[in-house]
Amino acid sequence: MSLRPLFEEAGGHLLELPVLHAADPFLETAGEDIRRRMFVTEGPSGERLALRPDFTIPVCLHHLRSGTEAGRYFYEGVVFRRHDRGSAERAETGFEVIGEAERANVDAELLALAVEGVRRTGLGEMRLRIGDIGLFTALLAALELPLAWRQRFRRAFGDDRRIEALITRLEEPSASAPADLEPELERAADHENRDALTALLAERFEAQGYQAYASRAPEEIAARFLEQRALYETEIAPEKVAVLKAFLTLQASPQELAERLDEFGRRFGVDLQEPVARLERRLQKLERRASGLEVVFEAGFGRPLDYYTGLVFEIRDAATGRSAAGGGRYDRLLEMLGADRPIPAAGFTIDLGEARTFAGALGGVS
Amino acid sequence: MSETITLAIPSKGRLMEETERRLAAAGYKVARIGGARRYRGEVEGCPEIEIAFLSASEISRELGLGRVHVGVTGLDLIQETVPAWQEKIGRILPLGFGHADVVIAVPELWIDVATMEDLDDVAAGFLQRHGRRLRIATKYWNLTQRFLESHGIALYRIVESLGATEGAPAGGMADVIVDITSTGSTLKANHLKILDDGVILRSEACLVMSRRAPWSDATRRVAETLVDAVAQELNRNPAAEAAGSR
Repeated sequence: MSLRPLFEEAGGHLLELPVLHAADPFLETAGEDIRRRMFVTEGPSGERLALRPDFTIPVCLHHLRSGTEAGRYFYEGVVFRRHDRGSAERAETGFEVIGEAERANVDAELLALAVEGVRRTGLGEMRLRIGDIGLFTALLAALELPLAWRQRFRRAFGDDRRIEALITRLEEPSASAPADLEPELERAADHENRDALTALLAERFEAQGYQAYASRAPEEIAARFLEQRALYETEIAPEKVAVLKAFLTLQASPQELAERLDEFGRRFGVDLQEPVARLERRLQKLERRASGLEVVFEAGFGRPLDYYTGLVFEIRDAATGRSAAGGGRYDRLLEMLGADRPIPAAGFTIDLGEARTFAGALGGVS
Repeated sequence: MSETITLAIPSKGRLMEETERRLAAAGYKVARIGGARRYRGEVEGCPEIEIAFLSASEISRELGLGRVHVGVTGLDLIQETVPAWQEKIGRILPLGFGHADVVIAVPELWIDVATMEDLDDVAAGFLQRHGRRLRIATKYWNLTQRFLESHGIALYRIVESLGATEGAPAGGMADVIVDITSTGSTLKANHLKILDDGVILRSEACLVMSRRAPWSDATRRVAETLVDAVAQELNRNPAAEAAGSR
């Protein structure tokens, strides 16, 4: 069944996007890690081009070039990513909402749209997994963890192995005593005098022939050094670590979500009512569509990429576990791509399978 | 002709001298064909082995492609330049010379950065602070990517550097580097320090068998006999490097 009427009804405009794009926006936002999965080539004047590894970034760039305030877009076509197994060419379709400030409504609408979209590709029984980066950061703040630790946890969120490593570090803090400095630097640092340390570092950088302003500034290094030293001296209460661990294993259906999180908050003495209410508003539109759909909220489900900011979700085939769709809110991405102010954005992508079996879910667009 | 194997050895410098010394000690004396130009050679009394003199990086490439059967090259080059090297490279015998580490190093004045975890912190905040991602200068793309991925670091860019990598941070071309070092003195001279957990690979010269070369039972025996002989000689005389080094 075609997805085009569905996406048009939701207010989307079909975008026809080129296959070849400048490689840099992908590398700057997703990091070097994506390079191994991207097909990069050279343009006629030596510029680095990539076969699009996804549609989201090209859609965002299109939106920025168009100069419009808000837009709803959909697309369909082949994306190119190296995988360990299977074809490097996969067909995808998806829907992105950019520039609309009604975040909760947009998220709720996107969740429902993604479910309906996947259903129309022919998947009968699906499992929708929901996570919320906003709820996790609210917990980190409520626990009053030092900022550096909150940032570390935020970055690792969604990567179980890294989260586990961080928790181990908190439980065994002696693992990393800060190194000794040479006497002159130590004297400057000893009084926690950031200005003195900054000045000394600046002087040394110059003496060593470092170009000024090319990399990290002496102020930044001095500030982080003193912060790390303070961090080492701050002990993080074992109870806080226990709360984190309990939170990360929490799972609930939408119906029991509020109750479970409320109970969690009371048990551990953290107030999460506001972020929980925000999350609930996002799930409103789902409950009525529950046939053939299992919905589970997993408190530990997130994405480590730093442009995701709120709701994240994925849809899998309930029988095989195959990933059918993924999406979320990425309010920081457009700024990374050059917007001069924060622009709210969210969307999802539906996998249409290996490109050679792809028949055009939108109904013969490509 | 299918009964001969090609043994590729470095064409110049200390790597070549040490390789020839190791082979001679194991009973394989290398002789050059064609005088001074000497790109081909033979082993005295051993017509089953043909010698090709190549650069160490050519040798790792040819081993990966299976165009030479056995070769002497650095472990760093095997892991960096041969895609899916575990599938293409068979036996690897470390030879006890040409030691060097591939390391990640930062300016020594980054007093707040001692470990990969610190670097992760710095990389994560880089875009917001500086309007660009952290830049790493290196010629070791693959080793760098794999190592940083194993530490959960994805937010950085690689700047390709084909020489004088250690000068990149001071020159403003990159923030940190991944490079090879044997004594650390070049790093020190450029005011760089190796992160506490920043040794990516401990490399040395190795005698390496290709899996991809056209092997027959006979040629495999020739190659195995050669590698066994060198291994036995290394066991008998592990300190030979000290005697031969200068």
